[in-house]
Amino acid sequence: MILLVYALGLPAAAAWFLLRTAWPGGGAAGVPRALPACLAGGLGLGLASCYHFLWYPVFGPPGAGFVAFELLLVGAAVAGWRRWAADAPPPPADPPTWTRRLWLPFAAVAVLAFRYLVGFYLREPHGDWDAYAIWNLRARFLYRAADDWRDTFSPIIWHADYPLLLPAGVARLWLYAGEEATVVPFVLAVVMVGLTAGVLVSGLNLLRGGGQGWLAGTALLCSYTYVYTARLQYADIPLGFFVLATAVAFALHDRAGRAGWFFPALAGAMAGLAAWTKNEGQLLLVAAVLARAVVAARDRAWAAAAREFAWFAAGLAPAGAALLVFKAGFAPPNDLVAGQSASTLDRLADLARHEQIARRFAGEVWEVAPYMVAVLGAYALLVGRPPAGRRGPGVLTPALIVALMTAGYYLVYLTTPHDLTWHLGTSSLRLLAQLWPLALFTLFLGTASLDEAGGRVSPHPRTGRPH
Amino acid sequence: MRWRVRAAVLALAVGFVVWVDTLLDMTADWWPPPNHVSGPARHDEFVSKAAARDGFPKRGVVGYRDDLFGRDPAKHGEHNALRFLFQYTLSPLLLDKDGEHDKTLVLTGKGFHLERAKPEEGR
Repeated sequence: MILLVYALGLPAAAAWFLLRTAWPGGGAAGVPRALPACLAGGLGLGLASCYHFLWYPVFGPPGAGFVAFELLLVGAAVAGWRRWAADAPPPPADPPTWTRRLWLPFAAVAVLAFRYLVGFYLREPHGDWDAYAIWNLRARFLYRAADDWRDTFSPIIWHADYPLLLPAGVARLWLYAGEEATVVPFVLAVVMVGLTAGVLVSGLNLLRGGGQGWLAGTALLCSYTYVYTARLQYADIPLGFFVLATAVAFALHDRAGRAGWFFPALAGAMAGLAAWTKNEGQLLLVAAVLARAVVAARDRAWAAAAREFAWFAAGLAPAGAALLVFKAGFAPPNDLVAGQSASTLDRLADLARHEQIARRFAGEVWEVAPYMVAVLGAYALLVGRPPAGRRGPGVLTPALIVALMTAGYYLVYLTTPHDLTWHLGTSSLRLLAQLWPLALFTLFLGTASLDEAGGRVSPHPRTGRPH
Repeated sequence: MRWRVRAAVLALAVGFVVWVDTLLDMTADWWPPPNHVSGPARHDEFVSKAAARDGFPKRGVVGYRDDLFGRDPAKHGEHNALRFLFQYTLSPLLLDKDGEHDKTLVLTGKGFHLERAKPEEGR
């Protein structure tokens, strides 16, 4: 267990040193505590899975040399650490209200959700169907196959074209653990749930304050599909983390007046890791670029957008390189792409398919969080928008990313060569669960906090530039 | 405005309580009974022991034939589930359900065994 904690913490610590050093405002303004730590956890684990995979074609199966390399990486991160940047000062002085205790329901539901996940793990330690048919299976291949590691990508294996963040991440942790402990994929799943909740809570507390983060985090862990999906040991939860982290980085960039390179590069790194997690993550690259292009067109800020896209592409490079090597060198053809033909046009024009997908999506928006969808809708209607002077970064980017990715999923179902009923039934709820953290971020970013709605705070600008 | 805030808090509180009740029920439903061993875990242990005992190859490719469920379209789900479980346990040995190979893992109503192609068949 100590080695597992060490293996989880090593890349996260290296990423944390990097983020802490490069975070804008590392001087007088200080660096927030919780958000960089949560972002670093996902970033470090994601990048570790990239270089763990790249180790195979370059040096062969990882061993002692790989462990030494990781130690060197942390050493380099520490050496590049300029100085301990001051912690950010607390947010502007809102009057103390009861909303500061909103961490209590979050903590309570986090404990209960963890207990539920532990119970399912004890019942099904190998995870659910796709865990042993796809994700943990491929981790076993990478860990066990030694010099035959290329067999991991044999078309005999189901969905061998799926990207490798999760299998390579699990295989890397097994390398440190020295055995194929089933607890490893479970711990990784729980860590990713925790990091997602952490980014949601700390991101919104930083951007909006007033307990919005705690409310959003509580709503996340009160979402049936999200908690259900977390138990499966699939890649949907890690993908949800990277989708959310991409949007949070863009929101921080907006909050900083769209100046500097750091946040667009961070958004690019997170989007790249989303693409390295699942094929759906590659849709995020398109959605993020389109969303930011719309924001740039609205504000007629094309020069700033060009710089932003350049840094986004630079941040994309590490995970993009791993994905490129995998897709160009090893992955068999994707079934959804290979299955397209002249009949694709017929599927596109088939109104019955449109109706079936639309009905399914509409029904599953409710299913993703029964009761909570109604509760959150009522909450948004009752509290309304924040006062003009207290609005944080705009909701346009995250809202567009949610909409564009949903539209992309719709198109994939419309053109799928598989039986549509089967395809929808086996995946659509999980796809919506991937977007649920970002949907909650969008909702709580764009609504007034309880303090604001109650007129308990002054209408002064809290977070800088409104958009 | 205060009534709106109170109503919003009430809505959140109701949603929270309903969810906690649901989550407690879900936890109770899924908490394993004493001495529970999951199906995949039992399969994993049993098949890996049998494969070691019977000298199954540890890597490469063998065929896979399901004489138990494979011929019944209505049992497609069971066929797939068992194939994935065998693949999961025996990896990195690849189980090819389509090609012809020197050795084939055959699943029958009595269990499973490794069938070797007869030389005269030229396989």
